[in-house]
Amino acid sequence: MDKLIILVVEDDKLTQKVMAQHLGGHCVEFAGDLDTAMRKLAAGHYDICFIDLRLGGDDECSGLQVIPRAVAKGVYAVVMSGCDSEGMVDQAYELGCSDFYAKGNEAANIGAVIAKYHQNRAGCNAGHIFAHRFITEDQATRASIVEALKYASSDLPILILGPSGTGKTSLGKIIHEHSRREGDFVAINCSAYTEELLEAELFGHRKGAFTGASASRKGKLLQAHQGTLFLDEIGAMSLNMQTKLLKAIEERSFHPVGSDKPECSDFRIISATLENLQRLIAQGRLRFDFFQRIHGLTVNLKPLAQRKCDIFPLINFFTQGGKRLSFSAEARACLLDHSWPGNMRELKKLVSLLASGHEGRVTKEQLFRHLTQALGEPPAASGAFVGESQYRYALDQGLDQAVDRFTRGIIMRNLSENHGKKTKTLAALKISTRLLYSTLRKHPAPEEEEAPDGLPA
Amino acid sequence: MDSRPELDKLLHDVQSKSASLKSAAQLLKGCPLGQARKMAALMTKEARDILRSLLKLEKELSRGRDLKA
Repeated sequence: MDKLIILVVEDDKLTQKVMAQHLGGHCVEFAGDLDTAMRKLAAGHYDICFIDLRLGGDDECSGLQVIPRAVAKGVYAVVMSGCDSEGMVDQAYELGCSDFYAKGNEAANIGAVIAKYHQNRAGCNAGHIFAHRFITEDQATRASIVEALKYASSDLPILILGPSGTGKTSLGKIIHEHSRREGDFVAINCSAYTEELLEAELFGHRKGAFTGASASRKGKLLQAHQGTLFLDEIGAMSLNMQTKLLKAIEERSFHPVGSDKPECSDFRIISATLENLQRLIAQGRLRFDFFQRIHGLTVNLKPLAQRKCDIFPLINFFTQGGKRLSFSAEARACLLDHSWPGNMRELKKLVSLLASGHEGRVTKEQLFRHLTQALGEPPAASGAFVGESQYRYALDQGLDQAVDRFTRGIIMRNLSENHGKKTKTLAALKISTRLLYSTLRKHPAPEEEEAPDGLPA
Repeated sequence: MDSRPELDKLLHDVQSKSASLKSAAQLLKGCPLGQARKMAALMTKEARDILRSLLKLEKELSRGRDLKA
């Protein structure tokens, strides 16, 4: 834990003693009157200043004068006073204090102040993250991340939404690193397991609990004790599994598969998904109470196509310390024009391909070849063939309709590129005349009135 | 002297010092002996201050000075 320098402005000796006990581990100084407080603030550097409002003397609320002085010096000013009338609270906040607590519950309040101070500092230090950990110049994305970092040290569950390859896991890890939790960051992809295996992975299992369980194994929940459990692709979890995990989250205890002995674990949940959870709830595929449990703060990560200002900073980042690349003007335009269905993962792969090649100067042709190759790979291998919009459309309308629309889009585009010549389209796309005409019957093209070309109608 | 500010000050003293006393009492149990003695001494002084303020408050109230005024 960072040692903070803290000034406590308080005239009551017993309260000073109480504060000293609660702030043990930090460097604490005391000021018993207004003059001493002002002198110390002028001369010293403090992270936090706790201020009592009544400091004796004729002015009954002399502590109020300390607030602007502390704020002007960039100190996190917190009033902790027995004077907590509405008027006094308003006055203190108007003078710039960050928090106001009534005296009497120091044990809880001081911890809350320290945590909040760290949250704010984490948000202020986000510049380092944007330069080295999560490269983005997009203001909306930056604002979302800064907001998330402010909650890093709380227990609030965080839900990260965004298409594949937008950095959801990286962000989860960054939040964990700023959480001050002592345990590990433990990630699991919920879509990668069958229900039975996911249960064993999460809760662990005893030896012989099922076929193949040759030894007892600690589950992810236990591994994440005092740390963070990152649930990727949360939307893929079955209803039955959601019920079991919900119980474990609420009770902070669970039974490993095949065990009667409950295990306890204190973990914070960060979830991620590319699916629309509200839609899953409506479809009955996500329990509302489970959603409530995993949904505290929501962070939206935009696809790369919607934050193109990040493309070149990301390329610079990916090539740092290695071969640097230079792009022709046309290649740059092509990069900005590409839809990046695989997001940052796709860009990283492209940069890796380009950097491994012989030329440092990248032309449009080279770029186009690599992008085409990426799209030409089997979808399962590249993960980039199906873009976010196509995927969402298929979820909404069903796969048949999505395939139909996709087919139509390609046929219409090719027809347009070939000035309506159906023979050329048939040859270029290697499709049957039946498919071409059935597509045109369902979706007549405005420019399909072309000169007869010998094809059957 | 106007009675209202005097009453407010007494009431604040009682509230503030009682809060300190409560917080100190919560800490007392885990304190090492040396610290507990010092803490207990400060708490006793605080309790006397509270008593003094309460007696003054009682006197003011018996003179008919109303806190609602």
